[in-house]
Amino acid sequence: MYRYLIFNTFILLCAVKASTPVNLNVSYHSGYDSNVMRFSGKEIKNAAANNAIMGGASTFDSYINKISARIEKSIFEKNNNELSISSFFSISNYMHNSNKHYWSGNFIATYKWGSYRNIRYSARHLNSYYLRDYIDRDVSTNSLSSCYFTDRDQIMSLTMPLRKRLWYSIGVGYLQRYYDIPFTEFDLDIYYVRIKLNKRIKRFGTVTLQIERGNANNVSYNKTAVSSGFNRSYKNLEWYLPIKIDRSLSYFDQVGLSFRQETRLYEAEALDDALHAGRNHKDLKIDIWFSKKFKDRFEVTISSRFRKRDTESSYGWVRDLKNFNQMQLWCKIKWAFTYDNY
Amino acid sequence: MIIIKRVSFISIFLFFIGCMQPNEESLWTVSEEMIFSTRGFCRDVSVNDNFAYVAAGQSGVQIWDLNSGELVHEFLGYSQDGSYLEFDDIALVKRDAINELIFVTESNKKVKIFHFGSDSQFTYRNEIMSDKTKDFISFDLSGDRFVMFVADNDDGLKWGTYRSDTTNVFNLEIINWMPSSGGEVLTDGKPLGVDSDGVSRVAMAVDQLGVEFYDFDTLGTEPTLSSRYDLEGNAEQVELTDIGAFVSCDDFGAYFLSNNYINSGQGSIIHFAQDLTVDHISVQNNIVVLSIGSKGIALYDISDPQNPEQRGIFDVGYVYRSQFWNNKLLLCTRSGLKALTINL
Repeated sequence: MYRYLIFNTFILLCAVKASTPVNLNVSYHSGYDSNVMRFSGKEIKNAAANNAIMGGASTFDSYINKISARIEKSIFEKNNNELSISSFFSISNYMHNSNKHYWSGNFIATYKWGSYRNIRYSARHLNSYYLRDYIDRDVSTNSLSSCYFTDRDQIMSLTMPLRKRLWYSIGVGYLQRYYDIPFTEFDLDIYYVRIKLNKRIKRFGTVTLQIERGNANNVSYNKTAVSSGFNRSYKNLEWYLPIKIDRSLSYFDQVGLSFRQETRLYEAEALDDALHAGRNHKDLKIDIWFSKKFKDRFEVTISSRFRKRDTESSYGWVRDLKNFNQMQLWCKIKWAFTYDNY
Repeated sequence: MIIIKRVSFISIFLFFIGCMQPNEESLWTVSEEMIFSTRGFCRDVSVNDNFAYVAAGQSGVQIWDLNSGELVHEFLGYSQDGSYLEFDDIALVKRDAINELIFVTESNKKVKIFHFGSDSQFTYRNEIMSDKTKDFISFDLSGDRFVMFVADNDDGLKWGTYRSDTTNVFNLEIINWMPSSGGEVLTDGKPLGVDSDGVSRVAMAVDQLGVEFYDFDTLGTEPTLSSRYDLEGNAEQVELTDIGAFVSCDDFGAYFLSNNYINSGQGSIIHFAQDLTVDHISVQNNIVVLSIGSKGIALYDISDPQNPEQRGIFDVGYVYRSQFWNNKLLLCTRSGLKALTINL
């Protein structure tokens, strides 16, 4: 259903009658993921003896193919006022993990009334994203089932300037993270507030600091069978610091470095829920990227992400189970063009 | 005006694509209605006329009013030949309302018969069958009689028809239940559980050797072995239903054998709940309840008996066995007798 709506958005954007061009871009991403199922070091070590956790895959890592398309159109412009809508759609396929094949998309509507002055609505959808195989404890004590979830993330944000080359955004969001059958006991409604401060630095680029505070409510807690008896609600705090350099570069058009760290604290206190009770973790992501444009239409971006999750728990086995490292490498080729009927 | 129309259109569009609904699993839920605190482990229950006769382990025999939740009677022991004897650990209990009897078995012992009538006196009569009784089932017969089938762990299927026998010794009335007919059918297996439809068939779980079926002409006549099916695991308990037999096989889950399969050997045995340790099975309509010890209970939907579907595991304590009572489910647990409602 949602795929149908996203697709219709594409058609709609092309069909909307407005005397403005349609901006399109199509991208192909080739990537590598060192730890597709986010296994901990101990799980990787024991995988040979417990092959079922691989979910049918024969490797921990995988090459990735991804294609995406983005379309944008301004449907109203008058003086400094502008209403634009855009949409994005992508399909990802992990070559060495048949379970990890998913699509995602978004829809954004932005109303601007001056420089750094806009209000934006964004709806993002991630469809049946595979995590790994887990034991479905609602019906079994040891047989594994594939675990997928779907995200629907909506955020409304307001952007305003503070002073010259300094602006901020503030937004409130609602993320629904609902798991596919049989893991509905993990379903979460996540409410969050996001504050972003941006600084444009002369002859350098842009530095941003974003802070997000979220409250995840496990909506299926105690609603079904035995596994729903564990409360997976949590509170999180995330900070994100991207540094984009697009001035004074000799070869590349943009070089970037970002740090993102999420601290998550689970609310569970039940003594029989060792997996969640008193658990917290820090999830650090470091990204680096280099972009180069060719003839204004083509852009090649090489990027890399290192991810590390450190879990704190009173139980050693929980730490062993939940800690993991992950490395991703990406090469993206983007072709941008404009369709102008007028 | 045009911009208002477009913004309105986008708003409606946003509304449609906004939120999503969670997926709903086809699991059932259970709600705990009442707990009858038996103090000792609740090992077995027999329900008659909304009263539960409970084998409460080291707390003896208890009688609970299921509607009010009150403990009506508790018997920690009994008088025999002028001596008061305490129960060690009651494992099984059955009520025979017609003959005003309560049958009681302690672990691996004989079946004790007690009279419990309108005077609420718990009076010891005598012992029947033999040691190592693992399970039994009885049916009342006209003329102050009853028939009992017993899973005797060291012999086989014991059966007997008993009648009340009154003798006077020095003006003291002594009532015993004496066998008028009976016997035993030896088996190579180690009987652990027995069930009967009271009409023509007895089924007996015989541990490593699987399950045995015996046929008889009428209640009180000798049962004869009709078929035996070897199953994986240790067959512990068997439940006969209108559609066939359900067998609990400990670490190997549960089996369903249709009547057609039992009679002719044609078709296939349905193996389900393979990864669960199943101690006992009870069945009502399309609901199968597996007692899985420390994990609680597992529910299965047998709308299609050839393909039982999982409906959830529920952590309701350490469960020994279960029994349906009206539309509720009674669970014998280590923390007492529990009454649950299954929400389909």
